[in-house]
Amino acid sequence: MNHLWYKSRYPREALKAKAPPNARGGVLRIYLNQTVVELVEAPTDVVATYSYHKPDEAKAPKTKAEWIKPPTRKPLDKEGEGRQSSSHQPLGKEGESLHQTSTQSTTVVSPDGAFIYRQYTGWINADDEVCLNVLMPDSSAYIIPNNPTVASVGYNATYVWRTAWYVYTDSYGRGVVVGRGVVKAWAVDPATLDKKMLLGQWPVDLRNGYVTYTTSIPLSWPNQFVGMELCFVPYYSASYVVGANATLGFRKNAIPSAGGTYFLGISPVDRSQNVGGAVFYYLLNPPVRNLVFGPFSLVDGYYGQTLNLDMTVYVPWSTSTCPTLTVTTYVGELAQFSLDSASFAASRYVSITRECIYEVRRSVMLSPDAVGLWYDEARARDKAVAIKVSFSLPVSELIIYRVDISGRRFAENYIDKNVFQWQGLIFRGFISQTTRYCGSARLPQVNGTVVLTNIETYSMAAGDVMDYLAVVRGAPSDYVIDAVRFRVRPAEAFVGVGGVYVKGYTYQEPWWLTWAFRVAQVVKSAADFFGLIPGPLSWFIDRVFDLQRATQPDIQTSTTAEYVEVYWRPGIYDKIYQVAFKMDVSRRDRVIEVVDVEVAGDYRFCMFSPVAVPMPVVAPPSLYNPQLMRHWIFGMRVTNNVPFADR
Amino acid sequence: MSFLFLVLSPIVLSFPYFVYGFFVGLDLWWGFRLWVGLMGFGYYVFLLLQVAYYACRLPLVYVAAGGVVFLLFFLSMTAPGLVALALVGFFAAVVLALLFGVRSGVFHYSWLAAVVWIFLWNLVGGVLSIPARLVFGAGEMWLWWEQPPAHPAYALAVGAAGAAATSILGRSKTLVKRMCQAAPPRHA
Repeated sequence: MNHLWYKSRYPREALKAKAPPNARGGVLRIYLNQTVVELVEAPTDVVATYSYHKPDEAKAPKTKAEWIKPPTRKPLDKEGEGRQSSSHQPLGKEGESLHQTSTQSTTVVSPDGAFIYRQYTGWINADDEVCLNVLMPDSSAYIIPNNPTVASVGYNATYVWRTAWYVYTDSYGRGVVVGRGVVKAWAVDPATLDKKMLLGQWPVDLRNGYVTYTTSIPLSWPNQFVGMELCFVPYYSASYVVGANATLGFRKNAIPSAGGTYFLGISPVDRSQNVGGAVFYYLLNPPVRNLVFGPFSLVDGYYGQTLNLDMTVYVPWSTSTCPTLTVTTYVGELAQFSLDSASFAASRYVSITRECIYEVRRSVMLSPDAVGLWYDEARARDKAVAIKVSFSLPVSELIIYRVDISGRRFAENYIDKNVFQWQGLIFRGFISQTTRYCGSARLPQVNGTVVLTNIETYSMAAGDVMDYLAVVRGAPSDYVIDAVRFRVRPAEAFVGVGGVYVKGYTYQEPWWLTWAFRVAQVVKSAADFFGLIPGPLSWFIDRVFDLQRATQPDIQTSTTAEYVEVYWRPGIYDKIYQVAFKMDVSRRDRVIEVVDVEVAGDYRFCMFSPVAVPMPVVAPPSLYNPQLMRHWIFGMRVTNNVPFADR
Repeated sequence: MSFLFLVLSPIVLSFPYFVYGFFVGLDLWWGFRLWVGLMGFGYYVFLLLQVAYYACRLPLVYVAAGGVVFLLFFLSMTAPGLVALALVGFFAAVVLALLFGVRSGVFHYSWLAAVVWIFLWNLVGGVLSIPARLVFGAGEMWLWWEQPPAHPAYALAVGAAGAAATSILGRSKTLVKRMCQAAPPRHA
């Protein structure tokens, strides 16, 4: 806050400003380095306020403070815990006092989250209340249909770090108190954001042409899903420009499934510490041409992004004349959007190992269009961003120092708004797996690649409790899923596969073919003496039936004492790029272990290593409200725009 | 000589199943299709050898006719819907083998005897292959890209059961005219 003391200057006409008629508090005018700030004694329900004037060329005394209106209250109002009036503090103590307030809270709270409210311009009748809309991306695609004025802070919010108000009207002089701003804390329905109960409100008088702040409004309802509103009530009918900004600082309790605390609002994000397997050392055998990193995903979506790539690449090459290496990066769930391309010359050649070595460093600023795109992804089933790096030559060795996405993430407020678009599925886990050649020894050492497959788990919270395992073809996109093998541990947690859903081309057998095999089945049964004793002839008819069955999907379940294993494959002519298994489950903690996913294009690829997804039991008390549960298990829901072909 | 036909027949039947990996390793798709053709051809020759045991000879023209069976099975896996050709190939294999038996007089020049024989052959072979069916018969999912539709040992056992059934039914003069005994083959 101290920067305000130095940057703002006092306009000449503001010296003529008068306190509003109904202003009860004192006003301390402070001159410091040609800056003038008026500290206004806060109204009863306001923690602390101050305001400053927009910069002006007017000169002010270097250092001076004077009471232009004596305070009406004692320096520290003991009745209002957490509140603080600045008006009785000496100049030197004032900033210190405000700072203490902030420091006291930041011992437990990081003031990271922020909501910005959209400016309102227009005529407002006296005493009519106008609540400001929460700022959204500048796109009609993100219009919030319901409760657009509610910024959802969620559970465990601790305090509003600061709000900033600005009001201006031509109808009245600068400095005149023309109305009041009201900070409202509501208990809201987490699913609809409908306001259920007003928890508290803090009014602050707003002076025409001034920026007015409040600080340290406590939010002491950790068990309530809190929504914040900023509303303006003018004292006079006029045409107003009302702008407001609120910075909300809060902390949420650690959620075991989420792996730590997180916050809402718009906050800086650096995923470099959380990219998992991407920061890695790869010895690639056989050498590959394409690598896919990520996907990176955040629970709240992205706001602004920077992509950083830093790695060392080794390319086997027989001469010291190294070729140029081109790295192309993509974004999107399937790496379908080309983002950036850059060429790199070899930094050196190692003659002993006959390798060209490249130092690849690239930082890409993402355009607003990409932001919009990514935010749209964020609202959808999968917010993941995949980065594909293509090499012009087979790469044998790779050391990755950094692959990350920096930026800002959106408040889940925006996601929550579109409640009608969501189903009951709750996202439980997301894993990206790079598949490799199943039998690399027999395959050529060039034109290799790795393929990304995305594995997602969901639970149905409302109604029947069910688990879903979805396997989605990643990048590149010219590979199809040929087999999925997974286990559910413990075996008791698995009741059965209730359905297999696929996306992609599926072969439909013509009716005459079906009937031909039915006739063959009759012949076989007759030859077997009505199916009782199948002999060598019947054995071979079964092999012919095997050929027919190969054109249909098949699934097999086997049970051990520890787990149940499910093996599924599509038909030989099917081209499946997404498959989801619906499983009935008992209500106990379980783990879905994906043993293998096989994909095929020109070659077949298998998973490099199994992955396991813990699936904590869905807590029965949360069943009534999927949205509430979503907040506790760090999940997200899927939209209903996910057309599966039921098989 | 005729006994050699009988001994060789299970090997001919099961051989494709033992070399499945080789074919698929050559090329996933074309290797697989070639193998399917070989499987059909192997079964046809297996049936042919049963009749040849009775006839004490194996005419090359009937072996060459196996090319049709091979083609039908091979083409059955080249496009969706063509799998019906595998059914056609199966019936073609049976009919061609029985045709050999009927024309050569093994089945008394009677199609009725030929049909009764193959029905009984299947039943007797079924009884004899019960142990193999108990061991290998569990219907597991066929992962066509990495394994044959049946275990090679299962194919070998079924082939052996079929050969044994051929030997047993050969003792019935009503069904089978043992040509080797009645009139030795010309080349013998």
